[in-house]
Amino acid sequence: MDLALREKEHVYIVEVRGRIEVSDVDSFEAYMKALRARGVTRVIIEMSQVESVVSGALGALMGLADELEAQGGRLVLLNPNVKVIAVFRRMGLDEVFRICDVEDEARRVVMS
Amino acid sequence: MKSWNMPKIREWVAGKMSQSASWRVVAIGTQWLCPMCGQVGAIFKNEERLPDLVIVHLTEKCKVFLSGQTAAPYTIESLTAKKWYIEIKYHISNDPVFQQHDRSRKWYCPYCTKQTEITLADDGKIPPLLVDEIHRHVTTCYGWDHGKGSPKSMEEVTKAIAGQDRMQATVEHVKNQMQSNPAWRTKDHSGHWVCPHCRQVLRSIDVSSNILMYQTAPFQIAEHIIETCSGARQAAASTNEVEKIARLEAPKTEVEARSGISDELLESLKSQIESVRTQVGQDQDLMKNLEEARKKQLMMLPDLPKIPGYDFQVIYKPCSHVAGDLYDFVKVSEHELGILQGDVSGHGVDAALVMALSRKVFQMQAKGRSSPWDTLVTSNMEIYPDLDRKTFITTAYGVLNLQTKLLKFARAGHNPLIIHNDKRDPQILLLEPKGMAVGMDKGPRFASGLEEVEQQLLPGDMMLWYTDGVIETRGKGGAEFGIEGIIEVVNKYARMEAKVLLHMLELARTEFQVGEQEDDVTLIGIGVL
Repeated sequence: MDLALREKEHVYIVEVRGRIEVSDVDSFEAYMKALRARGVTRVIIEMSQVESVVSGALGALMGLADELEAQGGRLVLLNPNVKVIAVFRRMGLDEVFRICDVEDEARRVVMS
Repeated sequence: MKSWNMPKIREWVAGKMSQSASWRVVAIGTQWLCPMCGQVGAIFKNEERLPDLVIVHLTEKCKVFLSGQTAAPYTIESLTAKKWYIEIKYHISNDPVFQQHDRSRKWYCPYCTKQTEITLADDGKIPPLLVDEIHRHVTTCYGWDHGKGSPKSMEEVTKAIAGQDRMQATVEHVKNQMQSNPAWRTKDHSGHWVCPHCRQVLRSIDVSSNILMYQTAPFQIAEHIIETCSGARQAAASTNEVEKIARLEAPKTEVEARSGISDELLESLKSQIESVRTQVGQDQDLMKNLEEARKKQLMMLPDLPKIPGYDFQVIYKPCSHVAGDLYDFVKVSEHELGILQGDVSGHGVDAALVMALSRKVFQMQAKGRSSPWDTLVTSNMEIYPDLDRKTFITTAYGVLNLQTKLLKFARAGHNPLIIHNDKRDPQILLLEPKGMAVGMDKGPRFASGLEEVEQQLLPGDMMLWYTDGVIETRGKGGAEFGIEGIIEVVNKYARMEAKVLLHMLELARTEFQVGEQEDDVTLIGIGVL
């Protein structure tokens, strides 16, 4: 898994690439912790380059969403592929996370 | 003849076609389906002309519209089903890849490239009854995937047929040999089959019981002979020779086997072994403790229920010393059995501790509760406070009434339950009610998102419960075994005993796997007799 960050108009977009494995959870959490320490609370996770995600890694995403919401922020997922959406659906999380297809929509949701 | 206000109708049709998906259903790119009467209302080549043709159909032919009705009775779902029927029928008549069969004239589906039970006539014609059967197969076929899949090429289909023909012939040959030639029934002290051709003990082929030897092994042996046997072209060994191989107790060590290697390489190998030994020595206490933990965990596994009319089997395979997978069978009431399968996120010692805690909670909450929804909601409330936010337990839980065979089922983020029965249509049923994993939410979202469904079980049903370790097994190029891999095995072996199905599924999974097992694997098979 690779992570990259870009910022535009106070919205932080974390671009995730590759396969998300259970072994990636710790580094993902540390990365997001560092972001939150900078006061970032509105985050879009750009997932179009994510090839696959193992179910065991989704707890970290759930924890992150709860923490951001507790700080008055929001987490939105952008453009995951069909395979990744299927994992979210299997885990009963497709209706818990807001999943957007285009960045403009994701920006509107995360700022709402 | 009724006179129509054409501008008004034109405007009404244009509005419907732009706003409602059910007014835009087109089969094979040229046939428009009318949502009023459900028939092909217009056949067009130029899409721009379609609105005019629709108006002609409505004002001259459509009995529903002409009766004065304006609300379309056909939904997008029913029209899409009709569209698929038309398209499949069209392909069967016009596309050679949809007309392929093997030597026994069994029709091959171009989506899954599998042999079906549909037998084509000698003259090659496909009567309407067979069209319906083919349509039924395709619309339940995982390769077709609700219209998202594409048919394979002619080359792929004919290759699959040639492979199946060869496999059938080889299986027949193996069965004949096993009946008539004792050399082909020889096994080593652990029940592994010995190949008379390549003279190897094959640890993946278990012939320790008659059912394994005569029902499952012939397929495995045929696969071995076709794909991997290095002596397939050599004459078969005699019974004496094969038995001698089976009696050999200890295989050669790697060093003995490589007697031709250089001294330098041998020294390097010895040095590496010594280094590993030192490391192992340092970790010995830890390993001993883990081994004890593993034994204790295995001892805590529940016994298989022995209930007349049902066939229960389990395969439980941790990826490290201790597992985070759990399963249980709980007596809910006099006539009700609770069936639980869970998978704690992660694996190893942490997951094993959560597994032990949650299993105990489920056991306590399940007693006396006929509703899986109740049991999972109360269990979640108990477990949530004890977990950190990245740990959760995907859980499938069913309550089976042993007298009426009614199964109540809920799924908290776990894999769908598979039910197979030749007498069902479709033969495979996925029970997939909604629900998030236990431990992800303290209560309100968990309870409101959790659904419970009921399924009447029938004699001949085979239920398969499985954890993520099965579908997330990685093969070549990082591909996942997936639910497709499971369905393939279920289609072949779900008619047999639960033990055979689970054995073949685990065999297929391990053959698919590249590298080490990365997650715990648990399979539960329950046959309804």
